[in-house]
Amino acid sequence: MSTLAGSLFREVKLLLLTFLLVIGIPPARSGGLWLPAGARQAGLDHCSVALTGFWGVENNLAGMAVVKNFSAGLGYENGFLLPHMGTASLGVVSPVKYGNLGLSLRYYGFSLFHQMKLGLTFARAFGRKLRMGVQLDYLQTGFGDIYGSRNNFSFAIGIQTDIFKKLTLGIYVFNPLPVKLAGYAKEKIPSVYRLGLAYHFSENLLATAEVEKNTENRPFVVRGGVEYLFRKQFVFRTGFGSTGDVFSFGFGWRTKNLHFDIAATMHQSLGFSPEASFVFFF
Amino acid sequence: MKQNRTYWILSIVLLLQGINFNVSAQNGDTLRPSSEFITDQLENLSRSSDLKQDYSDLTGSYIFYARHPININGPKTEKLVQLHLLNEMQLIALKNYIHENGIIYSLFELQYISGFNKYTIRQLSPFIRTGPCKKTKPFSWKKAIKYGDHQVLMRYSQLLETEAGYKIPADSAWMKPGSVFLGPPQNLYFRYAFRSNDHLRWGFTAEKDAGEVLFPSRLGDSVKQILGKHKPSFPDFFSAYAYVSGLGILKKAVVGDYHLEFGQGLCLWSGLAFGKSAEATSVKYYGTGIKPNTSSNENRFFRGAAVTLGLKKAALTIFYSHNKVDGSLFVSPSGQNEITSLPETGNHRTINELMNKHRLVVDAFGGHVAYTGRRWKAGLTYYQTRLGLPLEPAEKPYRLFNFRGNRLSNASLNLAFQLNRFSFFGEFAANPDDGGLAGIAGVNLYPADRLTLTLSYRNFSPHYKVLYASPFRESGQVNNEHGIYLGLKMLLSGRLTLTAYADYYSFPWLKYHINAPSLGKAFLVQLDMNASHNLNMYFRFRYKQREENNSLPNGYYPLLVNKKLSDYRYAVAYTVVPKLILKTRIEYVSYVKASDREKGFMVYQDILYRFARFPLNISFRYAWFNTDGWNSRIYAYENDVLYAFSIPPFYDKGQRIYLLLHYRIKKFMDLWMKIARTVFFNKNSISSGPRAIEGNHKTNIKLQVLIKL
Repeated sequence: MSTLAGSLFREVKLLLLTFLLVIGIPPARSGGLWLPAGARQAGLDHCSVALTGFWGVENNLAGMAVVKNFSAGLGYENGFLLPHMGTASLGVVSPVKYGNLGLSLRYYGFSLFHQMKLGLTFARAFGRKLRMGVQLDYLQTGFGDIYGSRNNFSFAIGIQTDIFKKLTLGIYVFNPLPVKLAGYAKEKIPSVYRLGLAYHFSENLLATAEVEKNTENRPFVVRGGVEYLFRKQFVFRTGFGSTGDVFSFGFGWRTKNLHFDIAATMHQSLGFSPEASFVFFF
Repeated sequence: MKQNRTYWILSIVLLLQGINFNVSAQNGDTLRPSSEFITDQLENLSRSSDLKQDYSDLTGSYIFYARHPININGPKTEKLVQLHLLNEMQLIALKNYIHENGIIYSLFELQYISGFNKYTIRQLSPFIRTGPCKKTKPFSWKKAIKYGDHQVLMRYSQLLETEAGYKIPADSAWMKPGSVFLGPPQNLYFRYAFRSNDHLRWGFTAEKDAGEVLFPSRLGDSVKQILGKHKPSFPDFFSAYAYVSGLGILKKAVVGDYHLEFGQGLCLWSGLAFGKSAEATSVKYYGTGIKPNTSSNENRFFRGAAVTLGLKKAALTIFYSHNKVDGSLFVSPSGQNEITSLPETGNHRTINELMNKHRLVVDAFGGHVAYTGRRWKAGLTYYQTRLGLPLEPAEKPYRLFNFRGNRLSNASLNLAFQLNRFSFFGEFAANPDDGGLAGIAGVNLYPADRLTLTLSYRNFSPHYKVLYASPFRESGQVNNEHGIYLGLKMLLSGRLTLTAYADYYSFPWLKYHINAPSLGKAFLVQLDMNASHNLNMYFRFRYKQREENNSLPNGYYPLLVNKKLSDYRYAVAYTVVPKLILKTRIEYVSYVKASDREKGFMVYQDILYRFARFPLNISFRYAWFNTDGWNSRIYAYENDVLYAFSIPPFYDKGQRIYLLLHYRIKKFMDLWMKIARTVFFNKNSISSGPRAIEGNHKTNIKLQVLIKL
């Protein structure tokens, strides 16, 4: 009986998966380019908009303004442990005279379908309480071997402000004037809006929550996460979301020159998606 | 019958010993302040459900410790965690503080301990003492009996309107064996308990539910003939226990009716457990092991004997139980007697219900070994359950994995340990016979004094089978569930507290009314605000979503659809003067399932008045409700006579009024009276079947006397 039930579960899971992929209910597309980069963010169930640090180069650009050294980061996310659903992220940030300059590259997909995003970012702080960043994006969407690929240009803006010393508000807008994928069809690159708060209980403890609206998805997603630093170098994170990746947890290891993070997010029907990232500070 | 007689003899012996009454010197009015706290605490911990729940054991513990506070410098402080008054981190901080600074002499000192705030201290203060611990004197039976508390509780309640089941004379019951109530409509409850500082407890409970026969001899001959050997007993339900603890190597021992609570409730937990509630971070279970049964649940307890022996850090519990529970019988075509279901209501009002009474003999025996280290605990449980008749529920696809047969064995390993500010807990259980597995693992994290975080993962395979378990879960059964839970409690400022949880679960196999594997989730966000010392309020949003069969028979629709329930509540309590408290609540519920939509609304006003020079408390409520139907019903906790507990659901259109009086006649005697009336505006009859009432109102009256000696 158990094998029957087991094969039934597998079948149902497979059916669900095919259904979700074919019909393309977007929240099922774990990772991908429209979710934040970095395993730290994944551990907080993709909360990113009010966070500062290296991965601002891809997430909320304003958060990148706090980076003080030349740094480079590398991350990989595997959606639902399926071989064709990987997202790779790469970035460098370099402090320049008037702020920070960053370059990022993300790639999602496999030979028959891929999306790529190349971003050039500039971010700086205005006084102690305000940070801003802008990004110019080159986007490529490729369909298989015979359909070719499409190229688009767009932009993103990020703002962060410290309402109190311990409370940060972040806003992020990507592709607010949606660019069409092709001239002859209605399909557009989605716009993404994020608004969120981060509260520092202490040096060791951070809680964050945000709301995201992706024009491809149903109404909006509410997310929250908590990050706890213990023994000065280990980090524990957990988070939840109202739909899509509903739950996450992650660990991190912080040294002076390296941040290493791992995380897993969970989709209720499709299971876990692991993610890992490194950031090097030179 | 024979069993009952033994109990009578036992209880008479116990009563005779109890006649040597002694009025304890410490007899201040501890009931008044603690009863309000108990109301709040139970309302927070309880979950709205249609099942009758009995929280009298927890209530009893609060009352006992209000009279006999726990010394905060002593070894019993772990009890405070079990009573939901402190969390584990606060307990560790307290112990560390005492270790570093010596014993605590004043309540004011508590605020210097990390993790203690005004609210905690206020909540804790009725149940604790400060100052040096008295040396524990060697146990003496004489003194324990002399300084113990005796408690006698008598309760009467009745529905004043006549239900359809009472209208047909009992003599013609044989024509309608399922819908004629044989007994009178009064509910009678009697309880006697003795408790002496945890060392010694004994007592008994007797109950007759509404509609049950009080004096079996008065039944008509025709009914007697039909019932045969199933004729009702006097009283319908009787339960007794004698319990000792802390006598050297004998940690605990009980004879009579008892409960067992171990680990995270996955393998052996017969008592009541709190589930998902507004207390979002109390997910971890603190099993107390052997516990006497004081509740009036008529089916779920052990009857026999159990003992815990302890040596240093190790403890061994063994138990044996021989109990009769209700079961509905089915005679298979081959002539074999089988039990198809186990009704848990405890009602024995009609011929059919009486025929099911005590139909099934359940024998259970086994044990638990525990070892407690400085920062960790581990335990092993094994027990067997044997049924007198095989359990064979009707075959349905959703029951494919249900327990069948008459033999069941369960084993589990439970662990709990502390690391830094993480407190891990878990239990892994199995059926050694056929390999059903279940596991639960979680962590409580206390990263800062103002934040508590709980994470818990559960995975019960559809094959797992157990009869006496009650772990943290969503569904009623303890199998076929997979879920993850995240809870949080955050003190935003001195006045604001945020509580929230998110729970995601799936049922990998079919369930009743769910014809496919399904998913669900639940969220709660609550913001509490102490606006000033006399004004408290909270806002709560709760959302529940789960898949259920589509009620449309059309095959083109999806098999399952989401049932969504959103619940918005605002509640405010205003203490005008210490004597007068006003409480208001507004609640709105919306229900959506495919094209089915319902909404519900309720508002109520409570007035609580406490006479200053006269020992009388008055609670009054006026509630008005208007819902589109049963699906958008609203549950509201009600003040009730002490030890009773009610969260009635409100549906359709109407109003409810109740008046509750609590009068302290003498220092040792309390009297309660409650009268409650629900009036529906839009119907001429209430309920259906034997419980149907002609007319649009329902009136309930309750009287209770409590004597403490």
